[in-house]
Amino acid sequence: MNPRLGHHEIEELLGAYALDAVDADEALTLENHLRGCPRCRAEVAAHRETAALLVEDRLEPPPELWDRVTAGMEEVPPPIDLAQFARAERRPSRATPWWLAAAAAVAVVLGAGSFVVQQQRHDQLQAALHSQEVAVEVLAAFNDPGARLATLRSGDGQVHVRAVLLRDGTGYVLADRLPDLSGGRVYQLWAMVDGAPRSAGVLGAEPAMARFHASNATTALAISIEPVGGAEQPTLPVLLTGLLEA
Amino acid sequence: MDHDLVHASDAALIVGVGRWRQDALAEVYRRHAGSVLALARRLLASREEAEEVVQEVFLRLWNQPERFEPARGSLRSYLLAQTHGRAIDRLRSDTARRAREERDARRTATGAYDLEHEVADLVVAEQVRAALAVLSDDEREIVQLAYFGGHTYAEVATMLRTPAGTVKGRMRSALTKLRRELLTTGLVRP
Ligand SMILES: [Zn+2]
Repeated sequence: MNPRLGHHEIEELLGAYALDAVDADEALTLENHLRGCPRCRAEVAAHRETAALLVEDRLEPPPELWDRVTAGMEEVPPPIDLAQFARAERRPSRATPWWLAAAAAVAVVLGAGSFVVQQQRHDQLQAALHSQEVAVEVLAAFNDPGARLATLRSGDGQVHVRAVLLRDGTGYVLADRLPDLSGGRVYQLWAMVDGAPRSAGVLGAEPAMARFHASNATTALAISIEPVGGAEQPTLPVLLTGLLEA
Repeated sequence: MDHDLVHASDAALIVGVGRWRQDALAEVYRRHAGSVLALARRLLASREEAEEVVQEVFLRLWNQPERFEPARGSLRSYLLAQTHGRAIDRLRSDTARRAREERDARRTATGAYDLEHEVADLVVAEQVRAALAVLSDDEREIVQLAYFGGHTYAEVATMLRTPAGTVKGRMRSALTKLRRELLTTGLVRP
């Protein structure tokens, strides 16, 4: 590739470059340009920030992986310019989206108490209340002192789903860790009452965060895979089960 | 775990890493290793290779924390960009390329992850899915083939029988559109 590309041609490549989707020659050309062009650097950073949001799954690293990281840390790292970070430290955190910080603030107001409130600006709080009601509700539910918590596990222990049941019978289940289903099948949630399963609702084929209602006498929760529309009785074997805390 | 570290900002954690505090790196790892591993596994067929990438990414952060510039973006996106680059380097070596053909989609769950982040993940995922709807099917496919498939724009062009220049341009316009959409949710900042 011609190293003397015009600025327009460079710009056209920025998206592909941010996705590591250029060949080695183009990457070299781009890197040379980026060193001297703050505007293109900022655009690449923005594209990478956007791309990173597409990564929605997480894999539990095997426990020994951290040991391998620390094993590589034996050498003393070179000193770095701390002044740069001391300045940066005073910037507002980007680690937590502002609306989540606001949601956490609401949870505190609602009597939850366990979240550190990073930003409590009133306007943010209002916006969060408007657009993130469910997140707020869920956070508050899990922090409700009267709430009963459950962790539903799959038989192999690989999949964990968290749920909470409030005294008034409202419950929430965070079912996004379940793989998406296809072929006309859905997940269904069951509440165990007096040893018998009662449907607590169909979670769908691509479950996420769901609200449900169940009796106060519920002792355990379970999730099974059923045909679209759900079933009267769970198909065995039930995929995940978990006891509700007393 | 040190309570202060659990609630520390990215920038504060990097200061800790810069002062050779292993517990600061451990907190970065606790927050982000799951996403780093998930991205590496989507790109690499071998579990071992993916774990090696995780190891490299965190060791590099330990050795060169100053490379992360808080003003430029989140620590998460920095680590994921590093991960993507390293996984792609491995992928484009010949042996890995063959293995890639046999790769299938993998999904597993995580256990140890705090609720605050779990709920955030869910909401983020929901908003990202909604934002993706502003893209055309073509644009979505192009971004996914590049980012999760590890293909160059030239390869994507061949796969989709579309001119390379068009694909290149769509990668940029799709990311720009997506960002504009995400700006309205507060997930990214101007
Ligand atoms: Zn430029």
